Amino acid sequence: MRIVQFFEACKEKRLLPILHELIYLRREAIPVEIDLPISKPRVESLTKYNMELINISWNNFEKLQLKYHFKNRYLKALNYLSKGYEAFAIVKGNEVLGDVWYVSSTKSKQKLTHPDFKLFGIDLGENEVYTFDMYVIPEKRGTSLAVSLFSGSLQKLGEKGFLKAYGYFMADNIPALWLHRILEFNESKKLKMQRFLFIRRSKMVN
Amino acid sequence: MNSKESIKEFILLELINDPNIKNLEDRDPLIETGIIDSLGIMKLLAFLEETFSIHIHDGEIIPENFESIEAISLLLQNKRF
Repeated sequence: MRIVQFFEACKEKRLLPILHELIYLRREAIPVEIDLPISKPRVESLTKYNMELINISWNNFEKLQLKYHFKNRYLKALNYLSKGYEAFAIVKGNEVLGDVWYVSSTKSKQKLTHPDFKLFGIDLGENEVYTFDMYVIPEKRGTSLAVSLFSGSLQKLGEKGFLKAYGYFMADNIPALWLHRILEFNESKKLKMQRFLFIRRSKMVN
Repeated sequence: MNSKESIKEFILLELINDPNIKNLEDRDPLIETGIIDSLGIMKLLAFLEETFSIHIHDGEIIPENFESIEAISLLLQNKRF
């Protein structure tokens, strides 16, 4: 999956942003949480653009026959689904324009976990969910699709009975920071982050 | 051109870019209307920092500071004095 991501990044001339996400010494992460259902949903009408927000799980993935713009997003989806994670995606026909993943322990028989739980000290309780790895295809950035995707997903999670959603954003990732702030997430104390490929560490900022 | 005018011109040209929209009022909402979305905020920050020689740190990037031209202008004033 990482090798595919590397080659796709080279092809798209996006190698530096990918390396920025894989190797860093001094970045800051801000863990966040929000009560569900959200009080100010910001979902634009997707149907007028022939788009819809769908839930993706291991059970319906094969049937949906989704088309991904990048192979590494498809491989990531397979990897996440095999771990019991689910996603919401905005699709046009069967083309995936953006997705956001989530993990919960309530709806599954086994206790699901995620590597971020240890980093951010998250202990998911009943009816709580952790959201991560939101992605919108480059052509749809700057169209408010990210807001509709995230806001709509939080709304659907609330409808599913979840009462709290957790997540995080990197303080230097301005689009992610903005998205979480306009949706009114509560922010916890910043953490200093270090990463070298698959090894990640977090430390409280004094 | 004062700072409000120059912010207005930037928003009209770079963020809205719709020939049907020729003017913006100082108190027109910029966030609910989707004018400042996640990509728009990046463009706007780059413009403000370069044009007015200031640095806006992440604690200042909150909806209250960018909800209208008036709010952005107030943020600028507070940064300069």
